[in-house]
This record gives sequence, structure tokens and C-alpha cells, in this order.
Amino acid sequence: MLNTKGLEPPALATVQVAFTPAGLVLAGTITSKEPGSVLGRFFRAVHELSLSERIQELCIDVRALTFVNSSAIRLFIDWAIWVSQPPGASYRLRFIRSPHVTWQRISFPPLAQLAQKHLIIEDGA
Amino acid sequence: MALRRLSDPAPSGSPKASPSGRQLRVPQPETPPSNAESRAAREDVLVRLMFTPGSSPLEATHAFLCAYTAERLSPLVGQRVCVAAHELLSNATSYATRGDIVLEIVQRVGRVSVRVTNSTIPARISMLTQQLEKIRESPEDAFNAELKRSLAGGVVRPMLGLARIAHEVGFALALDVQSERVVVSAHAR
Repeated sequence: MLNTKGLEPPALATVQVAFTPAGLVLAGTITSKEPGSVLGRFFRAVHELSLSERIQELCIDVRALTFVNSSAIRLFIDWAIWVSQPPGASYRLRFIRSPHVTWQRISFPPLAQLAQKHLIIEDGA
Repeated sequence: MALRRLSDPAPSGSPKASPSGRQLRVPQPETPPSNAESRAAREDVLVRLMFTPGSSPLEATHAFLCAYTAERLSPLVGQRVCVAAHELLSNATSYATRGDIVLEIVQRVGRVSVRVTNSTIPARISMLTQQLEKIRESPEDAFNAELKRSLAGGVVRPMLGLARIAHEVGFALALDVQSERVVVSAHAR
């Protein structure tokens, strides 16, 4: 379990972000032109926390994230890079996706190939 | 008044209806029409939105189009239109130089397409032409290449959005250039 140490998920208009015992859950849509300015910064903080806590695995549940723009897909690409090229020991990143949401079905398999050892894609119910 | 979904067959012999419900009659031209007139005569513009370069209309536009397409189109078509419209508008707002950016949702012979028009620089037009050629050859390869390019970083912004329209949504992309005005359209293959 991740000790969030007071790290608060950002309050955004179209996407809901919350901590779970296993990691994070995201719901809604990401349509802002530069999602990295808030969400990307938060993801980076969670990544650094995960490294400092030396957790084995972090679960990101994106099943209810029905739409993301290509800038947001890059946020997940960034995260795959972070876990693949850590300064020290890293953790596994497990994305729980919905096979019924098109962007998730299309975008995650090539992402998993690019970061094979550290990224797991799981089909949720 | 109940709205007819665009995936439903049109009632036989019924005149075309605009979104406002008014009936439209297309006059028969006496002289051969120009390309633009011919195109206009064959299509219904369901939505036309204009933006000034530098504005950030993505979130509000996406919300509007999702609501509109949910009412007017079948769910599958609506979702595809929303992705295509979002990515095309996002590119246009990033690369437009001057003049309005125009986003249109168009129905032509029962088929819905998305069209975005904007002004840009020749270098961007050249890059766009090359990218669309790659996408046309293999949407999946182009998409995967753009993902890899995102991983690698670099100076040139990856064109993941365009590749996504072709691979994820399954729309064909077309480019029409008139001087510095470019029209990128996406429609079902």
C-alpha cells in the first residue's frame, strides 16, 4: 500500500483522480490542451513517492477514463519511461483497462511492448 | 420533436432538414457549379464552429460535441466523430497562424465527416503532407511510430493525434491546400 504522505490528487473539471489502496483510479475525460501542467506533475509526484516508498507495484485503474486526447496519452508514455529508466530500483506499473473503451484497447498494447519489464496491462471487468 | 439519428435511413422522398428543423431545398444550378458550390450542394453542415488562433476551445468544444453527437448520431459514429474533431482542432489551434479556425461536422450521402480549416506556414503543410502519406500507407504502423517518437522525445512534435484518427477511429484523412489555407478532413473509410 502506498503511503501518500499528504499528497492530494488534483481537483480537475473533467477528470476525477483518487488514491486507492493499490494506487490510483482515474475517471472521466482528459481534454485539456496541456494536461501535463497539472496531471503530469501529479503523476510525477506519485512516481517519486512510489520510488521512495520502494513499493513493488502501482496499480492505475483507467477503466472509467472514457476519453483522453493524444497529449494525455503522452502522460502515460512518460510514466512508462520513468519506470523503465529509473535512477535506482523501480516498481511495476499495472494499468487496469477496459477492453470496451477504444483508446485503451488501442493505445496500451504498444505501450506495454515499449516498456515490457515494468509495465503490465490487465483487462478489468 | 424527436430527432432522427443519422445512422437511421432517411424517410423516402422527404426533403433535407437542417439542425433547426427547417426544410432545405437545393436549387438546380443553371450553370455548372464550382467545386465549392458542388461540394456545398451535396452536403449538410451539421455543425460549424469558428475560433480565433490562440484561443483554447478544446474542453468546451469536446463537451458540446459529445452532447450534440449523442443526440444526433449513433453512439459508435458519435464517439468516432468526437475523437477526430478533438484531435484535428487541437492540431489546428497549435499550428494556425492567422485567420479563423473553422471546425465543421458534415453529413454527405448519409456519411458523417469532420473538417477543420486553418491557415498555416508552408513548412507545416509540407510536414502534414508527409505525415498523411505515412498514415495512408499503414495507420497502425504510423500510430506505433508516433508512440515511439513520443518515447524518444525530440524537437518535432509527434503527430500522434492524426495517426490516432486513422488507427483508433478508423477514419481516412484527406488534405486540401489552397494557398496557405489547409483543410484536413476525416471520414469513415
